[in-house]
Amino acid sequence: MSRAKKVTAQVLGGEAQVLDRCSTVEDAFEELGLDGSYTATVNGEPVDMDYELSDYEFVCFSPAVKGGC
Amino acid sequence: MSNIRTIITNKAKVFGKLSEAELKNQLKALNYIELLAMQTKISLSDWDVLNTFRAKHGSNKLITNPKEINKRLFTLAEKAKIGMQKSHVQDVIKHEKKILKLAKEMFGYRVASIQGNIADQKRRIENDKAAIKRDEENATMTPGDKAYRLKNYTNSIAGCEQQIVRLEESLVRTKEYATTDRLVKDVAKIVMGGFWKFFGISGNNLLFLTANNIILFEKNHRAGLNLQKDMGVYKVKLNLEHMQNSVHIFYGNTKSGDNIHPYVSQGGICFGNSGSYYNKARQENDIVQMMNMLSIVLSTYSSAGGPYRRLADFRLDPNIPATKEAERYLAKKTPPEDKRLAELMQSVSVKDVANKLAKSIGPKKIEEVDESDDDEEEYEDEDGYDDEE
Repeated sequence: MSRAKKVTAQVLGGEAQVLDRCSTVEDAFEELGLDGSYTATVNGEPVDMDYELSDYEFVCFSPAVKGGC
Repeated sequence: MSNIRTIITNKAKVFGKLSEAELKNQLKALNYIELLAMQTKISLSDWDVLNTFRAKHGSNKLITNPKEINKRLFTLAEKAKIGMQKSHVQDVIKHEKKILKLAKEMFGYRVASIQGNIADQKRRIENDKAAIKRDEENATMTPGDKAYRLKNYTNSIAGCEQQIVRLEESLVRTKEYATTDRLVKDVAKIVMGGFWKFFGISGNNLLFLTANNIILFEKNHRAGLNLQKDMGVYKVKLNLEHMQNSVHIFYGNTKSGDNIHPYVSQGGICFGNSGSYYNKARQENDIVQMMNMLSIVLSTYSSAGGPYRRLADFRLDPNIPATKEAERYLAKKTPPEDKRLAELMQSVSVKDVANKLAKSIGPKKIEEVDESDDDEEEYEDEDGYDDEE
């Protein structure tokens, strides 16, 4: 699995980082040092953690918000 | 200049003759640009979107490949970031005197209150320790009873000690708010993050706007769901007396019944499983963390999370016109730069931690506030919401 270049990744509400060593969304998750329950999107589309990244994609992790209002 | 609203409103004129499929792709690209800008806190309000994302020279079509959109947006955003931050901090500087005056009023009396609470906790600890000693000397009490009571007193002492730590942290910040320009710096820090703009002061409230339209989406291709909604720009009040946020319409907002957002009801916000963290930030008077958490709740949606209303039920409400305050705000020009702008920009980089800030700048003592502020524009809160809510 090749590693994607210039992947922009962030947690919603945080600062974006450019990553050069990620093959999958899970790699980006670990690079950002995240822990806990998050949902992920790539270029605005929901994906699973094993989604394979390619160059210049945008990954956004959102905390799994909730508990009834 | 073609911003996103202009393009969508005049799509036939902007794009010319397109097939249904081509138009769909163009609108999909626009939706993605809007969502991307909101998630990355890049304000597009001053961008010529058509020019920036043009497919090729002379064409009126946008690029549609998300990776190309990413490349262009991030390259240009980096250059525009400083300008955006300056613009946002200028809004804060314009109201600096009023913020300082409000800080002194709101936090001055609270210092004594927190000190009183700390003293109460310390008295409770002393009382519990005295009770433990009495139990030890009580020959008539069984060992079992002594052990049970000791455990309870020990837990109570630990709870009081934790509370004292939290109160002392809150006291530091409250004293700084009351006697230095810390509140101004924290407001500047909030707006330099890019999600919020400072809008002014009304009564005991600091007022903020979302810098971009809020875009919510619900996508699940397996379930055939592909929903994206532009919720508009919200106005948020931060009441410094009660340390409480409330959310209100500003312009371009959608509604479902009386709800203006899936997680907002009558101005109040449902934080769900992050409610305890928000309350902790409130107790510690940490307005930066409060606004950061609110930005996440406003920009995230999940139907599994039990919202007040489903996203699918929200519609643009033609009965919510742009308010006069919105029209006035949109027409306002940016004031010129000054030394204070440069000082705040230097002192409140979002990547700085409080320690670095304290070392490099140090707190600026506030002078007596000049009651006559002829140069400052008076702001009237027009939405009629009760400031006591």
